Amino acid sequence: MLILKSVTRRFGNLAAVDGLSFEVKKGEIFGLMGPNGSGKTTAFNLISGFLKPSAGEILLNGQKIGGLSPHRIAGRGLVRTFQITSVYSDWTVRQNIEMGHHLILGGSLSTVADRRVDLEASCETILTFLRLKEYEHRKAGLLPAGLRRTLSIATAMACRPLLLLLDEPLAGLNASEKLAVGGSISQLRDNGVTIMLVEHDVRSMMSLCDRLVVINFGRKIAEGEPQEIRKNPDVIEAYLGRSEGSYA
Amino acid sequence: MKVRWQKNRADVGDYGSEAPTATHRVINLRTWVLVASILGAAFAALFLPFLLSTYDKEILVLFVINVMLVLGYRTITTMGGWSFAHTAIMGLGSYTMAILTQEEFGVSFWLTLPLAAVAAGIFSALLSYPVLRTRGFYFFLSTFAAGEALRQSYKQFTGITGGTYGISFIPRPESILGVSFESTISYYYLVLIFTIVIAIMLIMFNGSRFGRTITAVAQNEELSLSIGINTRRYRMIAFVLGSAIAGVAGVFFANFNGIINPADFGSSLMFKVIAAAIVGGVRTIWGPILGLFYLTMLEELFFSYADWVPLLWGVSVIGILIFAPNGLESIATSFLTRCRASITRLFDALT
Repeated sequence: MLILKSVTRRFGNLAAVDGLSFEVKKGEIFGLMGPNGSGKTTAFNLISGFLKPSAGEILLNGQKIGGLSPHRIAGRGLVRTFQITSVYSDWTVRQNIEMGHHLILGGSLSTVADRRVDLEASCETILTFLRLKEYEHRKAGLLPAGLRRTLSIATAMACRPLLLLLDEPLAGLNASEKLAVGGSISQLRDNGVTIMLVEHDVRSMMSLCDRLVVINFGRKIAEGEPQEIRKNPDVIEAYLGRSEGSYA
Repeated sequence: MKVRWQKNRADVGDYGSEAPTATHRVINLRTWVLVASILGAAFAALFLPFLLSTYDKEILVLFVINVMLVLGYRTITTMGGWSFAHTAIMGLGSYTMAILTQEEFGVSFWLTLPLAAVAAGIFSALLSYPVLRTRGFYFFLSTFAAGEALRQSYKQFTGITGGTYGISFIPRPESILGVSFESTISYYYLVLIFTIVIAIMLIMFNGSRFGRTITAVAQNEELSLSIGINTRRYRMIAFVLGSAIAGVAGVFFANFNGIINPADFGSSLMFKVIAAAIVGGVRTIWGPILGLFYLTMLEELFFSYADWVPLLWGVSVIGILIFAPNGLESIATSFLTRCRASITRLFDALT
């Protein structure tokens, strides 16, 4: 579904993302993992169009999207959320989700979904699905962190994405909030949305993702299912530093 | 509004069999108050000029023209940017009309109205490409530079604009259906009708999907981009629409005064517009009108101390920014809400 072919992004002399290649397959939860500063968020910004790649190709369903502007990429069905939770804080939960339907109702060149959508019904579905119904008239800016995070996913869902990119959806949440948001993510996948997420919390990544790519210094150091990744010596090194023996 | 009102009342719960009557009576009262105040305002607007002196009549006409100008300005602020080129762009409307109605062109005043809107619109659309790349203070500064450049052009292109002397002897609009616009009163009705039509159009625009999307972009541009909103396009729409309205206001401004020169479109009028938007607040279209009313009243009350007026305006702006950042409109709204609550309580007590 999403293919990266040796994508590179340089800031001056520093290659924040360096020849990164991987493929996200339809219907999976794909994790992009790495220590702080390893280039995860840069990779995310490259895929969603907030940064332009210096080299390499990004393909969504066989079409090049590298270098397109973010709203066009969203129009092609790739929708992202942000690390620092982003909602329309002055509006209610429901108004936020309504605005999320812009692509479908707003008359842009969307290929994502049927235009003759019933806004009312669609909002109800999303509110119920993500268990936000009881908060629908609350002001988004005043919600606790976990609910704001869920709302940002709800707004992204309203775009009817084919591929949903979540930037650190669990960061800064407490244990029960993590469980709730994590549950929503799995549920989304079960409903046919492909999901790619970035996270540095190793444990939640291992339990959520079907497949993982680990990067460090902008390069891919491992790829595979959670069990394989857990045992990979390069990954352990990237996260924990070298074991004492290897200095000998 | 009415429906929500009833629903809230129902939520409060347990009322006996008499309760609905009480509720209805409150709603009836509210409706009457609303109808009465609208009628009162319309009545005042219609007959006010007959009570005023010649000088006050002219102030009133200029006030209504400025209302049109600030309505356009508020439209621009809905996309999150505070422009400093607004009055210069208004000047574009003024010059379009003033030049085209001169004898050698002889274009009808009525035709120059749409032409002025188009001229201001096209200019602002072109200007939007560089200035809309900037945000916040930088937007303010870049529009300031652009506005000043435009105003300098009015001074320098002497052959077209008459330079610093400007253009004088601008003819009043041709009679339409036998109505002449030579008198101040008839001119007042003319600008009043245009302003009301523009205000109604803007209220509809704000409530539309377009208007809401523009507010969304102003609130959170990154999020808007990520859910597929072409943010540049929506910011441009707000900028162009507001500027086109300024162009129309410019036509009436120049035509009513009968003479224009570049100084008319300088920073003093621009400051008045911005102060009106800050003092009144930009959450609704009523805010800037309220702000403009306040500033104009201040200006006229201290007529004999004209040097003090800018100081008073400045103090008002600072005071509002500190004590009521959402402007006079927010104070008025909360006051009305409280009034409504006490009326409700009063009726509950009586029944």
